[in-house]
Amino acid sequence: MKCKPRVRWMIAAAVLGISTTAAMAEDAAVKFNQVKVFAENTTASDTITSLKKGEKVQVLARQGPWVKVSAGGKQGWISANAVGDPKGKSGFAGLAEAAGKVSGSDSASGSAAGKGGLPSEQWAQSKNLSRGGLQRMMALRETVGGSEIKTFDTEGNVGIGKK
Amino acid sequence: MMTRQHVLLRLVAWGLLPLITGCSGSGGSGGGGMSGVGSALSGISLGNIGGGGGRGVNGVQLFQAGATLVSAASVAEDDQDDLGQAVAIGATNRWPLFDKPALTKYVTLVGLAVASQSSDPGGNWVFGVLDTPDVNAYSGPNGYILITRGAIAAMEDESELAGILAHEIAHIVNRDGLEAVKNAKVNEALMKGLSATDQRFAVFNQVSDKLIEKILTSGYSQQQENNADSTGEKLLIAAGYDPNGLVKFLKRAEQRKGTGGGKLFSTHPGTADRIAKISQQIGSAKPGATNKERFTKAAAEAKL
Repeated sequence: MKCKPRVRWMIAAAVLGISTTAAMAEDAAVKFNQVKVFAENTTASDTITSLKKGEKVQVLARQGPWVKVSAGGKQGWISANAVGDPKGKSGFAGLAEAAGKVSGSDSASGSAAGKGGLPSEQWAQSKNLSRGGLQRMMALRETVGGSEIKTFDTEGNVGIGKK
Repeated sequence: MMTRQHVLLRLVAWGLLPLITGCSGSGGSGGGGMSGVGSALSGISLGNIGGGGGRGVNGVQLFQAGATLVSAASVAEDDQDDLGQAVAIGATNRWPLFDKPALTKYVTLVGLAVASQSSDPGGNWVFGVLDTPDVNAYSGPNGYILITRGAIAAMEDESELAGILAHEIAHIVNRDGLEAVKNAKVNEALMKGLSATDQRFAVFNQVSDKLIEKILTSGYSQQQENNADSTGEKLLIAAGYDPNGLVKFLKRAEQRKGTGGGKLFSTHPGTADRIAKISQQIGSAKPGATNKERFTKAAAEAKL
């Protein structure tokens, strides 16, 4: 069968694209809490799920400030800034994990970390500060979806909707 | 009974106190929600370390086996989301959140439009409005941004709001908060004997206190502020807003200075100097959106 040059080019590009993606696949760990996974590499797309700090992901592709990842059987795009050291968890999570390996327990539960909660939670608790304001900010952010962002930007001719 | 760990923790607190009190704020506003590092550390019960028996010892063994002492730099890098949350907690305890979800949502959408042009469009961008007549805005690492009701009330269109948010987004992408604390001194000698995890908590608490003092009271360096203005202006233009948004607001705020209301940019450098530098940067940039109509509608709640 004889292919037209354009078709041959498209087949070659498709094959090349697949192999490039496969060659780029690398292990990484999520650096922050509640990292949003978007369907596309834009905040105007739907949020598929969110990832926790320390969660292992496989980086499938990189595109500017975005990386395509696979985690828990799902694929999507996250901020390139949110992936880091593939060797394991960093910060408090890494210490808890390391302590668990040394002692055979599953966490550094004999220490302050074992009291549960994020460092910022413990810090706030130690100073008798309320986390209510932060929680309301985060809850409100969750209500702002991709389609709303797209509409707002398009109507205002700004951001991702700028002509 | 005071255990060895209790004694060590007290020493840590005393040893680090000068580090914090040495950064007394100038021109700060608002009451003190922060009570200093002493109380921060007293919140960590070192009884917990020893209380677990073997687990506490394991932590020490981990430390002695070659793990390096926890540094402010490692906390700044690895725990930046928690540091950002600490800033948001500190701010919202100093001033309550302005409980108007529609306005906060509008601020969020404007902020996201600007952040979409940043080096981290898919980042964790979270916004809040503080209920104070003061004119100011703050940001913590990893995307936590707060603007005052007084600032919004003094604005006339969306490009002005975008300009202020762009400045705060710039502080975050420029990593100004993290840079301000990553070299904070930690008294290493007094950390010995603590488990690796409890060392980290102690350092995290100190770094959080220092960061909050820097952001909410004393402010960034002149250089960091100028860089944030420059980066912010680029973001404002890239997002399609009127390039004069920030300058228009700064000029109006400067004119209204001393005519009542809240404090003006107590954590920022001289407004006249900022206006001159930004105006030079704008040059012949193309006009952009002001979206005055939807701003007026959304901001009405802040102007009451």
